[in-house]
Amino acid sequence: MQPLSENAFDDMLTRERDRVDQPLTDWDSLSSRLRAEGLIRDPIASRFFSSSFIRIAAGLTLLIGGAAAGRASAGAPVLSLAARDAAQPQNAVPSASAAKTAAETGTLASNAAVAFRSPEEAWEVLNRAGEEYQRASAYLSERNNEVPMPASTDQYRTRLAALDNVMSEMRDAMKEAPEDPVINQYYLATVGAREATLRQLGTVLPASARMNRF
Amino acid sequence: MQTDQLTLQRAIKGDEKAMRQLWLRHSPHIDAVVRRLCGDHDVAADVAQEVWIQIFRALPGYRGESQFGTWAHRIAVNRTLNALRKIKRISRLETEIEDDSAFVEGDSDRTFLAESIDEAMGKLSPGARMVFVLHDIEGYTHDEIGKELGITSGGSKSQLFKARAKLRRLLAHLVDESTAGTGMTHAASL
Repeated sequence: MQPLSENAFDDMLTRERDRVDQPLTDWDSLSSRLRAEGLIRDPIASRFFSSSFIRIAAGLTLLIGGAAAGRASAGAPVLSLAARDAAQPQNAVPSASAAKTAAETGTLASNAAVAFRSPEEAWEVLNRAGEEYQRASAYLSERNNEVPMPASTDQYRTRLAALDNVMSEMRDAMKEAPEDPVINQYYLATVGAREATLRQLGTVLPASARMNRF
Repeated sequence: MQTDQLTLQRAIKGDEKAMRQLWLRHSPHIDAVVRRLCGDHDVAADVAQEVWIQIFRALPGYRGESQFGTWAHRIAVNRTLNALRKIKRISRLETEIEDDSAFVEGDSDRTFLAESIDEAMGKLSPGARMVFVLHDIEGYTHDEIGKELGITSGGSKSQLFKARAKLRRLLAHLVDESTAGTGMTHAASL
């Protein structure tokens, strides 16, 4: 039998180049891998995570959580006076002037116990609160010598391990309920606490040491 | 094949629908090259999934300098070759490529009637198949093939010549016998 001619073979190759097949994999299995790698993001969760509101809310969660922990460890009541006042029925509907003052001066809503007249006003206060939180954190991490940071790296490692466990639990919970604001806030708060702990740990480690794992 | 920018942008942001759209549109071509290079269907299925994950991982780096299909195709070829190297196939075939004696046609080949070009390609040594697919199907130059497979450009040419000759023999039965005698040969449809 004669071999296929060069021309016939080239014709065949042309068809082969254009030939398409059924995909070798199915979308279900591929998408589950993509989701596991974080390449597919749930649209609602994605919007949630990207919103500045949640970032600020996470910051405030950290702030409130940190303040509560600090007060508890110092033997003080966990709720501040302002917060207690805010919980009083007579302060439940504060005056418009108080709200105006809060927005204009940038004091935190929890301190002034204000109600907001518009979403824009609430956003403004929230944004300012987030910035204040960042500035206060930076100040305290530099200059707060009254409460010494743990010197032992073991303590940080224990905290990091605990935070990782919480993050893992929260991630699982988010898969079940991606829209749940409480879960989202706590997850982001935990991420923030973890990053802060890593930064603190960095200041405790010897200059030559490099942390690869904990 | 044009891929609209909006779909790409949405896919970069992790929109599953957009990603699925890209996959549906391009997987027939992308998976075809993976299958041809791998030869083995099961291996190809595993590699194809890795290829697509890599494409989506790299998507934020796509600058639109070439068509999306072309860009993804390159990733598919590179990733497949890497995967095959990992499973120790390339190292074996690279030795075979330099060794002409590896390309010995056995008696069984003479009587083998390939039912399709796929099966015929399956009869090539892995190295010869790689060179043939990259050059004749994917349009790589011999220099590019040499760099990808770690062989010389001359070695690539030699392998291609032998691969084509063998394939033409294996596919001889596809010539329509009624026209073969008149010199008007053509390949039967696959």
